[in-house]
Amino acid sequence: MSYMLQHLHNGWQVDQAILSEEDRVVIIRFGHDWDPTCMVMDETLYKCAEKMKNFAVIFLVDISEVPDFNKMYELYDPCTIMFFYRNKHIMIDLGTGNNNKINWAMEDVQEFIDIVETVFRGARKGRGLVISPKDYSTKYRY
Amino acid sequence: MSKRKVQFDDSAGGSGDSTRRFKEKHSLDSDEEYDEKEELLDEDDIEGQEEGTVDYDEGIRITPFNMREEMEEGHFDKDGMYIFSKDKNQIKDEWMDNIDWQKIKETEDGGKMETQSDDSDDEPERLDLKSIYSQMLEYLKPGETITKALRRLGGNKGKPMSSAQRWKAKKQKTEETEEDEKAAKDRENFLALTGLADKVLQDGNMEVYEMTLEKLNYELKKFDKGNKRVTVPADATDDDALDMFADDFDKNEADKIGKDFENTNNEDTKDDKDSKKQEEKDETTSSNEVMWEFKWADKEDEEIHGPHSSDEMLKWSEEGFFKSGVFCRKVGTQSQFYSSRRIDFDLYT
Repeated sequence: MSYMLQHLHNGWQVDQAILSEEDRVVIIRFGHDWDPTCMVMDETLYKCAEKMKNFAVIFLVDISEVPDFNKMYELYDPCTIMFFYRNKHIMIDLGTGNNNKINWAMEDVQEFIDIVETVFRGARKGRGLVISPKDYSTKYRY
Repeated sequence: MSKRKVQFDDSAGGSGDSTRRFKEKHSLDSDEEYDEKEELLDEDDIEGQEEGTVDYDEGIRITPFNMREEMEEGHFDKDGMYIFSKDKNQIKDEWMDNIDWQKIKETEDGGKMETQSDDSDDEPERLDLKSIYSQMLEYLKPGETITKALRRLGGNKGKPMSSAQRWKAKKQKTEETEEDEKAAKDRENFLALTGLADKVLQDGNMEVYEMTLEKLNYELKKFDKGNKRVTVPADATDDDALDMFADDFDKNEADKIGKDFENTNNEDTKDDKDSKKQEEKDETTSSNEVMWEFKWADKEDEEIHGPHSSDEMLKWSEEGFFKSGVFCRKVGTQSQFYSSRRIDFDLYT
């Protein structure tokens, strides 16, 4: 499924993707296509890509192929989702303690769309940190 | 005499701070520094001074034969060398220099007027908005935000030209007057639109650059509704007169052709319906207002309240109405119910 979403193959492309998008949230999935966690996430991303096309655009980055950001963004999870708006990293309070990224695979499409919409609305109002509608502190790994 | 000396010391004291600072650390300026107190020429050493007797003689000013005036602007050192004291004017401050004191005085005078106009600008401002919006409409294309329109009008410059390109353009200038004219017109429109948008922005509408043609139409309609609803009961013609798309036009055309009265009447009512439908559609699409429904507990069989607007929800949550937390979701989505404590309704207004 992940073949349907656009991959970025080097650091420059990632930079440009984040820089050049002016109206939409840029969602970047860092990870590996072959990783089971990423596969689940990519499936969700693929399902919601069409529904979010008005306010978000999704890119996939292989962290082995493009290791440029691993250190800066601390990409050591199998799957990491980060949000950017107009070249600015948008943080989300997920209740997990890590506001920088979603580092697990989300399965609920509507849930993810709700998060992205919150990010989009918050970012457009100039917020650097938004609160996700759902608290993930008790679910998943934390 | 000694009194004068004290005064002089004071005036030199203006720069005294800097001299003291330099004494501690040797610097480039330090060769200008000297210990003034030791090297001063005592005023009594200047011989032959006289008090001034007459200030004016037949309209001509007589300068008394003494050094008093000079001592006000400087002093002599031990060797009789006259040194202008660094007075305050010589301490240059770019910022102070750049202040336009004339202007400040003007605003001080005009301050009263401004506050007065502040009080009364509520009503005319509102009227202004309407005309500004309708003026803006002329510059926008359907579905285009003001930001995009500005980019379209002003953006064709794109990258700055290289010198070779510029030279080429200069050479060809006589040939492409038509294009130039268009560019000039675009530029004019660009400036006009920027001016209008800025006015709205200063009125407090921070979202103005995100407004689309449809949104502007919707806002205009809202103004019209506010003005017209009382006077026109279910009669379309007045509404149409204010309608940008002028549905009424069809009817007039029909009249000209000579269709019978009943027919036109039918058409009129149809127009009425059409415009109403359009209005409804506008309300749902262009305002894209989010409606919420909520229940008090996160149970399947709990009663769902709503729909309520984001404004209402924001007000309630700010007033502590949802203190214990309610579970809400957007109307029309099949998403789960989220706790209101984690939803910032302000984002949706």
